Amino acid sequence: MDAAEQQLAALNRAGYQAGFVTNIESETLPPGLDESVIRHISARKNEPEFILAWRLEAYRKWLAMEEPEWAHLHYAKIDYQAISYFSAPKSLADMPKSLDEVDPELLRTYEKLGIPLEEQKMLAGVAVDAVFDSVSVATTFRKQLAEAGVIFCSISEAMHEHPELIKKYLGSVVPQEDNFFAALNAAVFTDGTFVYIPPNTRCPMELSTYFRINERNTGQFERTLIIADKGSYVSYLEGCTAPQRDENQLHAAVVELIALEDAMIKYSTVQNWYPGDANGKGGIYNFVTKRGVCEGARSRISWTQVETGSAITWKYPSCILKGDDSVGEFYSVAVTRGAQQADTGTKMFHIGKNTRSTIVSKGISADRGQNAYRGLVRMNKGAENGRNHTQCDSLLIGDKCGAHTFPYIEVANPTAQVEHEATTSKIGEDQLFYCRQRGLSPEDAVSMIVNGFCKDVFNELPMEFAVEARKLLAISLEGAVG
Amino acid sequence: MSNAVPNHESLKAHYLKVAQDAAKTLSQQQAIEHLLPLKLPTLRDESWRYTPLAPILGQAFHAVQREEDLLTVDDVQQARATPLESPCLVFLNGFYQADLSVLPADGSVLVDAHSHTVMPTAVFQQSFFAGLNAASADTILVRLKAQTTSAQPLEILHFTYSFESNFIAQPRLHLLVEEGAQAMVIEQHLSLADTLCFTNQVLQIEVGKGAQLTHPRLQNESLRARHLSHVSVHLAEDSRYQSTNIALGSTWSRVEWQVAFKGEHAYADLNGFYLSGANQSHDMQLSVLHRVPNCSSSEQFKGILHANGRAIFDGNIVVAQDAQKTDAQLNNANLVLSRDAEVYTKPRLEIYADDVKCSHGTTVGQLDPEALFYLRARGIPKQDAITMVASGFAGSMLETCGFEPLQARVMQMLTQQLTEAAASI
Repeated sequence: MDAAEQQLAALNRAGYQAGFVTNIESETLPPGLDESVIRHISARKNEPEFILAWRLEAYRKWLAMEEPEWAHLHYAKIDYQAISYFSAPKSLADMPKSLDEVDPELLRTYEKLGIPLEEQKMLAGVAVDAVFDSVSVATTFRKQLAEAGVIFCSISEAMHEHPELIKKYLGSVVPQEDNFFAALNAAVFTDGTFVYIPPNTRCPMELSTYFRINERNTGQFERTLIIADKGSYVSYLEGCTAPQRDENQLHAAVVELIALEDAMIKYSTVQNWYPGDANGKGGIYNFVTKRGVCEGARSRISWTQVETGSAITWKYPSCILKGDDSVGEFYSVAVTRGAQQADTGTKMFHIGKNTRSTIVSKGISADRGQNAYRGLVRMNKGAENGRNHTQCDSLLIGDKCGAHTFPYIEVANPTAQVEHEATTSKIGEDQLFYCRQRGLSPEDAVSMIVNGFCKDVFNELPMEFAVEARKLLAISLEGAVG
Repeated sequence: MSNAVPNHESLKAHYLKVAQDAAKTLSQQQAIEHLLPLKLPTLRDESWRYTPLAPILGQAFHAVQREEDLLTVDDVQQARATPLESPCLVFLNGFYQADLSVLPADGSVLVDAHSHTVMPTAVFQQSFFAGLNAASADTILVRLKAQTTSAQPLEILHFTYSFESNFIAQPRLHLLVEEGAQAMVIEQHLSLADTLCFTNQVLQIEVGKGAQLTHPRLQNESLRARHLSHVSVHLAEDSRYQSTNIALGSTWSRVEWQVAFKGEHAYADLNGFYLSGANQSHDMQLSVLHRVPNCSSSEQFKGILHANGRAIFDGNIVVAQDAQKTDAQLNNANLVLSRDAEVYTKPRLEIYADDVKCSHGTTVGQLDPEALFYLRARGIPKQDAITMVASGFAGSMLETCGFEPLQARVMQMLTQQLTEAAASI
């Protein structure tokens, strides 16, 4: 009996548990991209003139760029003219004044996903800027946050209310022409989150946003900008699931973090977009540019990600360690099963003195999943006493999957110390035997071993996310080992 | 750096002409056809991203004619690491020198300087310079006969020397270690004068079923030389290949390894050491393909950098889907002694099979201050202490070369260079 195969079949039958579609009318632009589309998006959102000019500049740069092919990913060419670049739930043409005005259908969708809104919000203590397709529909806890001086709103609002901050920081970490997908995002981004934490303020709660792709053929182009002023602290949670669809959906987000002197930003992601069916049909293409800059001395940026979804993941949350004594961290668990492919990792640029960075990456491949870690650690000439430790481990489940490691280490300072370690292995028969002998079922044994494998990363997640991540991992790998 | 790109076209035209002038045989003509569409590598090519070509090879190196009496018996004897009576093949500027070579009387080593067996071109297909070599050089076939165990190592000496400057030397060797043979081949690359030259080598090694080859390789060309080697190794069932690649000389050197397992239960042990000092850059490109099950490989490279030396290490191990029970360990350690040195290291794993044991690791660091303190507390001067710790770091790698006289010679050169380098730290 080939237990692995049987269980894989059962797993495929189980399907994607967050796959459902919400029926609400949407106002969607016809597919295609040219300057008029960008003007339309900008006008539709009532944007200030400087944003439109910035978008058009990005679009012109994008036209001259080529789609990158270096990643260890295989997918059919994306037709950028076949994508619709704007979609907004119709009932929100005029922003709702309160939650009561929100389409109840929407609220039910969020409930299914377990997002803490309304009654749940006090319990969970989480402020939610829920993005449904492309327009922010509800922002809670605004008042409490405002009392602390924290600005937490959609980026479209920030353009009107805080243009000086937008002008100063938008595109300062990820410039328009940074890469192909970032340029596309800069041209057509529809909405996103803006956070500003004033000096010496500890953000009173964990901020969270849920993204959801709902409209067929609609690319989501979120843009997030988080600024932590001197001595402040913020923890930001990002999580996403998407309803089941048959066509590939493009997601090209940009996240920019700026940490000034003594500030700390903790950015956690649980990504569970629709991964496509067993043959890789459908599923989200996730091309994300995330980068943070530790601008001031003693600042700190910490990325934690749990990637279980998407057909294609192309994502490298990075840190530019500019300030002296600044710290960058990257903790990642990436799971690929079915026909999923992930090429993910991080970049750590050590520029300031005594800068430190830690990279912990855990890749799990099951079925026919392909998982690649791609990382860069760069010690510049001035990165006196720079320190990096990288640990990246891969776990292989099944004989058709792949695990790949592409670390780049560039050192131009003799006092810098860089270490990279990587291992690749499968779940040991003796480990399984040990657990089963003590009465654990094979599923529980695998789940336990895998959770142990990922523990270093899960420990970095905020409580709510850690629970969700463990659950996700268990679902993702159910029965993957015989 | 992008200013390297515009003159690539003229550079390519120049090297094409070098090839066209040299190509005589049918296989060389075919190689030209293959060469035509290939491009010179630029910084946009992944494996050349740290190596701008123009400053290295932009000087338009030209072909050089075979010279008969330039090299003397004395030159050869001085250079040899093996006893004079042991077999030795001598090359000058890529041309085989039969008169100066020594072949064993028992016929265990056979050399065919007019080889009609065309070296398979399947390796380094995409490399412009390997193509240039194929189009302009004659293949020398060296056979180590089946089931023979040579008591003495075979030494292969490559000299570069000419009255002209700016010349290109292109050795092209096909080394066949036939079934069951056991041998050691010591390869040395040396310059007789401080001339500006470019060595562009292709070496294809086939290790037959059950055969064993130990292959220490020393590159110690002049500090103005450019050295590019393409080494391909194919391992048949139950075979064993062990190499130690030592790079000390030349201003720029790059060795591209392509190691492929063709039969099960084979073992490859690739070791390397590089010392990169003032205006030097060493580049190790390693590609190991585990295509069949039950093979193991170990790749251990160490380097010391001082002054404004640069080092690039790119190791890639691919374990194909069928290559179950593969064991591969890749490691690169770098010791940086100076402010201006730079290290770029990239140990990669591509794994498509699940029942494997693979690991890789890399470190870049400076001298351990505690080790230095320990030695200095015992009255050892700083310069000696640095040399001692650094040569200890290198020592474990040099030991793998398997031939004591060569190891001692390298250690001596190394200590001398390190002592000089340590004086300025």
